[in-house]
Amino acid sequence: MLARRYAFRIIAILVLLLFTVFFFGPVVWLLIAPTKTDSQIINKAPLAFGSFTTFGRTFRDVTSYEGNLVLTWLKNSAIYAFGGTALAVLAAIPSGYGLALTRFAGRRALLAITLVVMIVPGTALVLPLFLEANTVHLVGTVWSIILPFGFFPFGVYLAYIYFSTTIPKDLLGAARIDGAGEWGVFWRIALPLAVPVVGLVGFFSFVANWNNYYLPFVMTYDNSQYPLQVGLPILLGSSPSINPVAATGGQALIYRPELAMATLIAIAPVLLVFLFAQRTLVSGMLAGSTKE
Amino acid sequence: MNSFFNVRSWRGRSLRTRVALTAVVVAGVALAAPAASVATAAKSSKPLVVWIDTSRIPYENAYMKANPKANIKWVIYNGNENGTGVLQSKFALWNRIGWPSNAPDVMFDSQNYDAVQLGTAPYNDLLNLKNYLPKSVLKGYAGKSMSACTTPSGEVVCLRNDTAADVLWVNQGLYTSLFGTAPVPTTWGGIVADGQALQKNHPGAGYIVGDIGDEFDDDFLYWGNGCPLDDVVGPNTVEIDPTQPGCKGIDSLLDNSGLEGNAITDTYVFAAGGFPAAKVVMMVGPLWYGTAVFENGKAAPDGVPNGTMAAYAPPVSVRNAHITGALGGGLWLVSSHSTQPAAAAAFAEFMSTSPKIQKVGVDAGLPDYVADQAGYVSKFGSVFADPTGTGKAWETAAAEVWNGWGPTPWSTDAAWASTVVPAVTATPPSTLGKSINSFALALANDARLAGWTVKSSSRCINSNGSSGC
Amino acid sequence: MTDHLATVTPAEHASARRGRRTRGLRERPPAGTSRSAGYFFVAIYVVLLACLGIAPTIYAISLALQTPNGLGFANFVNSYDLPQFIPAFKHVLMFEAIWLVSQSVLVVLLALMVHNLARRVSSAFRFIFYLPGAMAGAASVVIWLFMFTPTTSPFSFLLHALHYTLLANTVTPNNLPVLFAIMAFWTGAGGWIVVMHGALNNVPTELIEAAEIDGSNVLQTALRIKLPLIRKWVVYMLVLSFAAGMQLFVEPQILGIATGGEVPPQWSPNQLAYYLAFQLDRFNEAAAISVDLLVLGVIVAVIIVWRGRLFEVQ
Repeated sequence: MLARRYAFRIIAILVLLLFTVFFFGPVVWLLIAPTKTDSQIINKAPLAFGSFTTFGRTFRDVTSYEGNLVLTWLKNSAIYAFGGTALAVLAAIPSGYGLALTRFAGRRALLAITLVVMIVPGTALVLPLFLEANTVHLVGTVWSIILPFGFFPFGVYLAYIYFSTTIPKDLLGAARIDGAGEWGVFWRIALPLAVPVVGLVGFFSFVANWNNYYLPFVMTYDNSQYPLQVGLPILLGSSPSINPVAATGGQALIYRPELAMATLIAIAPVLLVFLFAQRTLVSGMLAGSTKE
Repeated sequence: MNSFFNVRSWRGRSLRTRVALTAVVVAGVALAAPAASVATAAKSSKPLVVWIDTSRIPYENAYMKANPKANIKWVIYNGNENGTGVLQSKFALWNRIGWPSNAPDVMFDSQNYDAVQLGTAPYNDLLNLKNYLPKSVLKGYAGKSMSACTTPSGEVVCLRNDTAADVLWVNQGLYTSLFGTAPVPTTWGGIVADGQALQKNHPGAGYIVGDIGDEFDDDFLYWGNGCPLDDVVGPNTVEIDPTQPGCKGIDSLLDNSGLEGNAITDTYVFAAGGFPAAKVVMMVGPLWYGTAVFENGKAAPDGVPNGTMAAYAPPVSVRNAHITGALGGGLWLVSSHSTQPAAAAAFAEFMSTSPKIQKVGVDAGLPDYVADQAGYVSKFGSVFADPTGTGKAWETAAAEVWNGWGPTPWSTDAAWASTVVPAVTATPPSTLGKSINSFALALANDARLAGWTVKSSSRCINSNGSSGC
Repeated sequence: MTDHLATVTPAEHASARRGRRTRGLRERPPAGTSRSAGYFFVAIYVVLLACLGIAPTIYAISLALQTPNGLGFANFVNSYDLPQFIPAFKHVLMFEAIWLVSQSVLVVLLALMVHNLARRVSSAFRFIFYLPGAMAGAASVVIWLFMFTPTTSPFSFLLHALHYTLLANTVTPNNLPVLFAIMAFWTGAGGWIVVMHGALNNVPTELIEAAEIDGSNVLQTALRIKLPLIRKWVVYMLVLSFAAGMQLFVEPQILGIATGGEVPPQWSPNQLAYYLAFQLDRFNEAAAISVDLLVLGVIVAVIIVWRGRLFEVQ
């Protein structure tokens, strides 16, 4: 019945709008909060806009806190995330290629182990990793974070699937017959065709690395080594809005707008990456990924 | 000093002279230990590594001004605040892999229950200051406050920086306008009576005489009334007994008071726009509330003008004892792995006791070292009403802090926040009397997790919560 | 190494599904390929796997088995006996139950609805739902902290309706599983909606058309045709989310800091392990709990890989 169809449509739109509010509302709040002062956040309507000058002041308060600590954290996040991603891509792409297009003893076992390790959640391994890093005196160094970030079995799996399915075998065969060594085949044939999967592996690795909390939390022990994710709760604990004891001593600068601002800084890079990648990921690659 | 040990000049002297000289040297070293050590620190090539939190940065400036040639490496960390356990995790790590050369020699710790934990097994990482500092210094602190620094075996493993003893804060002008010349209450019963009068004579005005809904109110209510819920009675043994009169007394007093809205009006009310000092007639709270919470001396609209709040002696406990609780107060810790223990101990002593440091202060912490208190009061007390009286109240309170609460390696506030706060802030609110057993149980569980033994005469605690609760 | 709630996100899975069913992978190496070349390509990864996957697992197990009296299970027993152990697992299972049930229902519902819309509108909705995935971790907790505080939240009318006036009211112990489920859903649902959308794209249009010709309405088509065909993905979502959810750490840890301990520092098993290791210096018992969680994760992984036939090993 036509009326029934319209009724369903209207219900669907309403439900979708409801969930849009749920998913997007907090983001809107986050964007607006730094434009208000602390008392405005409490006294004005939650989504009421403040002023751009206040936004600037909030930004300054946050970034100048304790000697530009937040900017140091931003730098650390970038180092860990990019470093980890670089290593992950460096390891995953050739491995995926090797697993897909070469044959060697133990290949199937390696694949199976990769699949299992890929599903085991990372947090289960953080404490054991810490204990291990202890014994090789790596705790507190940049490597204690970049190396685990570089271990990205899901990236290997992605590359494996990609190389198995998109590289025409005849192309490789022809190149081999022409006398190109294995490395040559990889470097000159496979790799140029692998740009999309490099992008994919890089994206997923970067997002996971940037948002990782537990591993850097456990591995670092200095304020100056924290990435943003770990620094954010520190700011929370130093804020008189949250912890009144922090109000003692005249360094209190971090109130609610500053916390919102710090959160914004913490998510901005990934948000930007999401925005740029959305076309390929959300619409393209994923939506069509299960197509035959 | 080096010349005394110059071999050439040593050889030329007779044995008796050598012995005499040695005695003089030793005596001189012993008497001059702190100063000499600081001088040594300044000259030695290895810097003294000192960890402080951001609130102590003024101390750093004052120290470098007083000792310009000192060789100190200052590191800012979070002060181990709020249960983040930074020191615990570092020490645990270093105990495993070896202490690095840049490990701190001296640390400021904002958690006053840390010292005994870090100074006893399994850590054992703090220096016994009894071996480095004279008794006169160690006895110079307010009341029994150094119990937070004394291990069960009698070692002194920290020095107190400041005291955060609870006093009775009163909005002087408001109180006078409401109660005239009547004297400020000196007991909890008196506070409740005033509250009841306000509720009867000014209903709906929203006047505040106290609060029980914040995450650390146990430090005022139970600690301040001698209720043994965190009483260290032996090595790794704690008494947790909610059936004692100190506990029952304050519970029934408040629960039967008929006072409404004991809970506060905003989440963590100490933010701007939260706790209206203008509505607070009186409140028991630590002495740093004056500036940090009531914002006394800050320009409107962020605060209230100078001369608004005044501190009075904390109320006598429900068991008629002159004791009070505390919330905060930092410690100076010295690492037992320091390669310059004497210098480190001397440094800690200087920070904790020297007027040059303690008068700088921060605007919220009365020095715990008694000799420095007057100087601090004269500098920081002037924003309050009756600065002399306020200062005296602070000093009195500092000496009255009850030593039957901690130090234990868990936070009582966290247990309070997860049991009592949800109960008393709910709609409809529960009572303290009904919630204390769950609070005590949570504390008992924390104790057992830490491997401590729990002593109690409460059936609820002894049965692990299965009966009598 | 990821630790946001859905570890291997559905988006990642979906992109991995690309070309799953193409046949054409050979069994024999192409002519002229040397066998050892393969080792060279996987070398870096294998080293990382050995050092950062296998080695820490073995080390953790060995630590967990070390007792003062030689090797044994004392640490497992002692950690089990701690008063916080069983409550921690109960908390997390409660959270899982609420989260997984609501997530399956809502993700499927939203995916079906989104799938029926015009392409651009559908794409816009999917992007909005997927966006919070960028904020996983500490950032999402800080955001939701403000959402749960009645004085600052745009959802305050809901909180006031429940008589909540303080953050302390929202974060009461009984509410915690629901709060964490909300946060987990907020960051994770979008990715799974995208996956379901992709799976729905695979439903042959002839089937749908046939059903509509037979008089089936939108609801019936959804329930009888589409749903069974994406059932497999719902199961994957459940199992993967379950494994990840057991590891809950960031959310209760940060909410605990923000509420002064109203969320106890040992609320979840991972928190208990962390507390034992870093607050009490008892690494052996912490390792035992880590191994408990590891074993749980591996069991789930093995089930999927071997029984689920999700990934076909060539």
